Amino acid sequence: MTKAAPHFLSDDDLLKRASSGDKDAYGMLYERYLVPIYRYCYFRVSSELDAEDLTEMVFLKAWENLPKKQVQSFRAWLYRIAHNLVVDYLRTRKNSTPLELLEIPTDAQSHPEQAFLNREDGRVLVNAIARLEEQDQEVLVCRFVSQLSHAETAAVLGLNESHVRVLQFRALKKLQALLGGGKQDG
Amino acid sequence: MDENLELIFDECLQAVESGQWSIEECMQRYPAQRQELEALLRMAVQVRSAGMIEPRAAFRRSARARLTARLADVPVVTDRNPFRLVKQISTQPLQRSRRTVMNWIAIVVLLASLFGGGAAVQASSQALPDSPLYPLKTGIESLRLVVSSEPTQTQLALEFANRRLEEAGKLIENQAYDYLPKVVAGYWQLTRQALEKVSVTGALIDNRTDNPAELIARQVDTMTALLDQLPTDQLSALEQSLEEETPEPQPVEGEEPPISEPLLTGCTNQTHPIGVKLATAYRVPYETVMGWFCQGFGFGEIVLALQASQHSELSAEEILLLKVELGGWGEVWRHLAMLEQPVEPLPTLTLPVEETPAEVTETPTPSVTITPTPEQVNQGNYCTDLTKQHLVGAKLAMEYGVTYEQVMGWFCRGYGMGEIMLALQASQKSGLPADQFFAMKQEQGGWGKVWQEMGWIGKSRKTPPTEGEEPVITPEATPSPDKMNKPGAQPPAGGGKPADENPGKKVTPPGLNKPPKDKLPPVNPGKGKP
Repeated sequence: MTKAAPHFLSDDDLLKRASSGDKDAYGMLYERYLVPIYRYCYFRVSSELDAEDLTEMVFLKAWENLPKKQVQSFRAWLYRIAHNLVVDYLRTRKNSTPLELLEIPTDAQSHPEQAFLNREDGRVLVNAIARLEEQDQEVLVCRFVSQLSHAETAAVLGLNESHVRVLQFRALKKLQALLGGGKQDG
Repeated sequence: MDENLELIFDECLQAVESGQWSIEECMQRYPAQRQELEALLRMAVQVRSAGMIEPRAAFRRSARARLTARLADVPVVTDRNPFRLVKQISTQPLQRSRRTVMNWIAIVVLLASLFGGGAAVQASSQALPDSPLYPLKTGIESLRLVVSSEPTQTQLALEFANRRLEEAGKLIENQAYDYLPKVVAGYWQLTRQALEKVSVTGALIDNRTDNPAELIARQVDTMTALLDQLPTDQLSALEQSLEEETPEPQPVEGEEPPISEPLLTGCTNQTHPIGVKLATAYRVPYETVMGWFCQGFGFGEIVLALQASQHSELSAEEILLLKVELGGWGEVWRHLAMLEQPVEPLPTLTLPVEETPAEVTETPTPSVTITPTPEQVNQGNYCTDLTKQHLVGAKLAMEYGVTYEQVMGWFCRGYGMGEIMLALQASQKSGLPADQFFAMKQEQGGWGKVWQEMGWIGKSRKTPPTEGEEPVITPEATPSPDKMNKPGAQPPAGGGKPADENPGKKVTPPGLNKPPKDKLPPVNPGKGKP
């Protein structure tokens, strides 16, 4: 019997196979989510090295806890693991080294969006997001960096969807204000 | 107003995300909210765009390359617990396997490879053994060791061993002794691994400042110093715990099994965990190791000597003696490297027949006639074909100001070049003829005893400086009696600082802090003995 080309398998299919011991299937899931999970971690912890460590932990922990039953969304489940690890990590970091934030470039004051493109987009954004409250950070990263749906974001953060909608809007406004492009909304 | 804007924003955002509308189309639908809405939508899009960062390419590239190279060698493990996997990988020899290319172990290996280097270094400063992340950390280390190749593998092992040292230090500082056995065992495993690699690569003989063997020695001394801080009951508990994990050494064919006498408490009043580990690792009697230790050699020095003896025809004890003579490990390496030189015959050199070794008469005061058994007599080409020059012999002759024929005379009577070097060194130090030292060695049964007889080591050492030679007695070179090897004491200077910082300077041999054993420790079996 010929194996179906793994690229055409859905997350659910791969998860089912992986849960029953199919290593190739888990490999495909890993390939699929390595970069997104890394991005999520990076935007949450503002450190390349820590993000690498955390990403690694996410996949190891996921492997260790592969769900036997069907989950609603493997992606949300994986991000939930990442979220928990990041929260743990941030909790321990609070007691140690304070996060050093980059100065936001001056030209961001007038055209914040353009500033992303012009000057170290990712790093500026990471540092700006890091200045927000934790829940705002979480929502922005889930929704816009990781591009999770409202439902998935809600599942990751343990919120309901409507709350996520409200939070994302407010968090964006705060980010905008932080970057000098608008007034802050509480 | 804001609530309404939230809904409109959400609608537009979804439409933009799904590609249904452009931002401009959204603005056309809600012109009244344009100013605020457009800025927020563009912000959202920019966040998405700026979020498209990638993990470092260098990590990915190197990890993939390593994975490709090693994949076939990684054993297939069916256990689903990755931590068990880690354990298996770290303890099993690599086996050939060409099972599925992307089995899950490969995934874990890839992960470990991808996120190695600086990330792990940073993590190590935070995760202590009492952390739930600690098994993960050590697991990742094991995986990184598996997928790396030399010389990175040795460097990694040393780096990780250093982490264990830091962890042990913190545990002792916090009096969190429960985790100590695990950390010390982990440290030892890494050290063993590094030592194995060092012996494979032969880097020991390199006289480099970053000689891995010397780094290992320093680490061993650091661990010794750390353990010396332990309360006696904790040290005993640790020793017991480590002993449980240490398999009984299997005697090597052709070698005498370790002496099964009760463990020597010697100068430490109790079994020393590092001594036990070294004895097991190098298959030498524990008593021998502790004999050296109690003579004032640091465990680091003992490691160096044991390790170097694997590359040399000199035994570990002889190397320790050489170190005492030469004063620093740099000099020792230089001399050992001399012995290691490949010997190529030089057909251009001819030797006068009348100066053959058999006719050497420069043996003024040998008290014992040297009569090596025929099978021990060196019958190599250099002894039968006098047109060939033994390069090491020539170098030794030059180094010690004797004739080549003299050196080859000893060599052809069965002495190894290492022993000849020792005798010449002793001769240089004492002013006595080298032949006398060969005779004494024959009589006493080992170079250690000769050294003791000469008073250069042991309790009653005389350290007679030769003319023009100032005995260097520094706090570093000669620890005060109360700081010699005993619980709570720092390791002796030579052990703590094995690298030769003063090449050429003579350092007095370390003395004893406690009365020596009735007899010197048995000489470690070496090569090239007559």
